[in-house]
Amino acid sequence: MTKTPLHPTVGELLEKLREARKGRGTESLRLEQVRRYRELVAHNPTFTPALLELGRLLQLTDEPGVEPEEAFVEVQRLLEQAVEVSGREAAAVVELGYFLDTLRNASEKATPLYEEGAAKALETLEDAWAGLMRAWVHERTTESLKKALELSELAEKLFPDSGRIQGVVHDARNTAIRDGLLKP
Amino acid sequence: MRTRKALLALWAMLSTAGCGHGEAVRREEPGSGLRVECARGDEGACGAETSGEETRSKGGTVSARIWALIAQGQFAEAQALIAESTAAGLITQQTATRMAERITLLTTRLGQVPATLQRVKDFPSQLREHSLFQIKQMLENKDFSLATQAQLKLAEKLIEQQERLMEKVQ
Repeated sequence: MTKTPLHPTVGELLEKLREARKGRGTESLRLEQVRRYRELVAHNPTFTPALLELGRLLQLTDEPGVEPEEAFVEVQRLLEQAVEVSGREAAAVVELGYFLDTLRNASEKATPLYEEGAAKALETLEDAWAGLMRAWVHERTTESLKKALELSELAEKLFPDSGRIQGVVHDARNTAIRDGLLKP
Repeated sequence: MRTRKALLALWAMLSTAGCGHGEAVRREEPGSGLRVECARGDEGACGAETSGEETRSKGGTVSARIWALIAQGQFAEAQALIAESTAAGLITQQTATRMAERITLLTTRLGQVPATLQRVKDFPSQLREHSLFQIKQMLENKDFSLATQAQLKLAEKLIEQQERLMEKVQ
């Protein structure tokens, strides 16, 4: 007896997302798009991209026979779900912030979410810059070291207390000095 | 704590570089020439320097003038200058597009936002025929003759929200 898989594969999920996105930006196709997203979300309630995208789409879609409050409750539920299942990732947190700020006119609830989103995004930026500069130092060409030195200035100002940034900035400068790009 | 510090540092850096949301204007700094302007603080908007000091200075001046015209609501003049400057190669196509998008946003009337957004609680319908630019002006001038401060703020948020959502659902 063959088992029916309970969960779709990653490939299947992405295919369904591509399907749901069809007709993006075309207003006349929006209701059909909403239907496909709803189906996708119903079967995959932890799929953050679909939750976020449907949450945004519904704010722009006027569904006949749907009371505004009913629509807003659904959007809020989707966005809160996206925040939760994504482990409070920046994009989801900020999207919920905008919804509360604008559609619920509750900036006092949105502000802490904007702050949280900004903090999360900064962590990612610190991580990405450290990796990028390390790669440029390892590449060790005139061009790559120049890029590392340029980014060093910005990175140091933004992350003065980051050990990772300070470390890689130090490496970039030392390597540049050794290769004659910077005066000791 | 550390994050707050980093956020402040980021803000300070963007301010000195003349980058920021809204009507960013390229600032001329004595001695150091022109700082790179940044229309929206997003990718590609900052650091879009063109090669050659002369072109950069010229482009900077023109760009600053256009952003100032947009900020003042002189959209026809701004549009004419955008077309002229793009043709003359003084501003990039990307900058021209950003400027045109900004004009579109500022001239959007509250009544043009999608019906769903018009159904929010306390929607200020009396502002339907007013553009984002006019609403911003009323807020700035503390002109509450047509709508309360809270209504003007909500109207501003709704127009801006529809623009960011439209961009994201594309």
